[in-house]
Amino acid sequence: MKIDIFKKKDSLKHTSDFDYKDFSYFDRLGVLTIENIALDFEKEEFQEMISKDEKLQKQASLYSLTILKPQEDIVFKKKSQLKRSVINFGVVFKVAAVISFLVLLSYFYLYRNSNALEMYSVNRNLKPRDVVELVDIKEVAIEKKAEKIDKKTTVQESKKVLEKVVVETENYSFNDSEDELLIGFNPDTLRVFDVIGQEKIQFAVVEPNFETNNLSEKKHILGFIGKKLFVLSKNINIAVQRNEDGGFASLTITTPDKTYSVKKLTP
Amino acid sequence: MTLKEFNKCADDYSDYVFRFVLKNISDYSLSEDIVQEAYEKMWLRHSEIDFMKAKSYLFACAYSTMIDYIRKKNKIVSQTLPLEADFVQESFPQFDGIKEALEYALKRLPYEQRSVILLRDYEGYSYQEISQITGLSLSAVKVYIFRARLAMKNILEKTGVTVNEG
Repeated sequence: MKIDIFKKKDSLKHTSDFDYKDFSYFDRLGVLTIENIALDFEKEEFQEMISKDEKLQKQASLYSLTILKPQEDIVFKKKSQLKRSVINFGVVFKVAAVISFLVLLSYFYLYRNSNALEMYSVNRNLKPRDVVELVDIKEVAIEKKAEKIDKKTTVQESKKVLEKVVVETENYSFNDSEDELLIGFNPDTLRVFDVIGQEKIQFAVVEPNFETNNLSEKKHILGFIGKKLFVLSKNINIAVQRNEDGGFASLTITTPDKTYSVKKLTP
Repeated sequence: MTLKEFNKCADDYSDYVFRFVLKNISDYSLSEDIVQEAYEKMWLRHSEIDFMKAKSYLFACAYSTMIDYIRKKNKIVSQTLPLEADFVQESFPQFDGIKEALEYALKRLPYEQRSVILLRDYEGYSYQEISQITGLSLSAVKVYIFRARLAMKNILEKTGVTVNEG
């Protein structure tokens, strides 16, 4: 027994929640098909329509052309400007803490040393290129006399008054290039020639860092005034240039705020 | 979303968003600005945004900014496609290639239709996703897509494009 059934049940159903009244039935099927949301019966009907009509077949082909393809050659060139980086405050804090600690440490170190140098304040009042002023500090600088050792004068380093060690050569003056001088723990034997250079200036000798023996480091500055040897200050910076023979070719003394040139004293 | 994921979004999605905006407004430098603004907005909320939804979020931000711009500049009037009845009488340039004809057709679409069709074809978003990105209702998205397809088909037809060229 043959049972009649209605074969287009799907066509009764609502497949979309918007009204297709603006579209012809062909256009509706065409868009549904290329959007790939057409039901089976809609696909069949669409195929049936275009198979019978060449004009509709062309229209259907045009629908297929409306699917856009992205242009890969269009790129955003400022990607780097979009990216973010975040400061790691943990690391910054640690670095800042270490730097602060070092600054404080160096401050206290300098403060201690400056307290130990009574001459420092005196030196700050010196006028540049005015060696006569140096003589004025003699009374302050001289603390004790060192022993005279024939042709050699040795500065005995004292832990207590290192920065004030003054040796008085009494009857001896450094005029002979054969004279030798030992200062502190300086392993080098400094001769007068080394000390005063070609002009035999009776001024300034350095005590190198006795650990490194590096003359370019900050040292004690020993200054001759007449026959007396003063330690002027630990805080004076010096620049020493050695000549090819190993002697001192030039010497510049710089205090924290002034530069003094080596100047020959009146004998 | 982490910082690393955010920067990956910059690498992976900026081209897509830029392409989408540029095709909509045809202004290179302004498109760059809109992309940057979209990423700026996302950065402000990056901790709340799921990396998996970042791309949609970027498109939504870019779309929103772009629409604001279009409305402010009254682009709506100048870029609105004439009704179908209107352009029947209009003369259309003839194109040798489909690419140029499609470009022309796309530019003639109203901005809502252009946006949804680009999201649909360029990015392959579903109607539901397009609805979420644009803030349009689902039925509005469908209407715009249907109308865009129909309009583009009609424009292609009138610009003399033949199927064999494709």
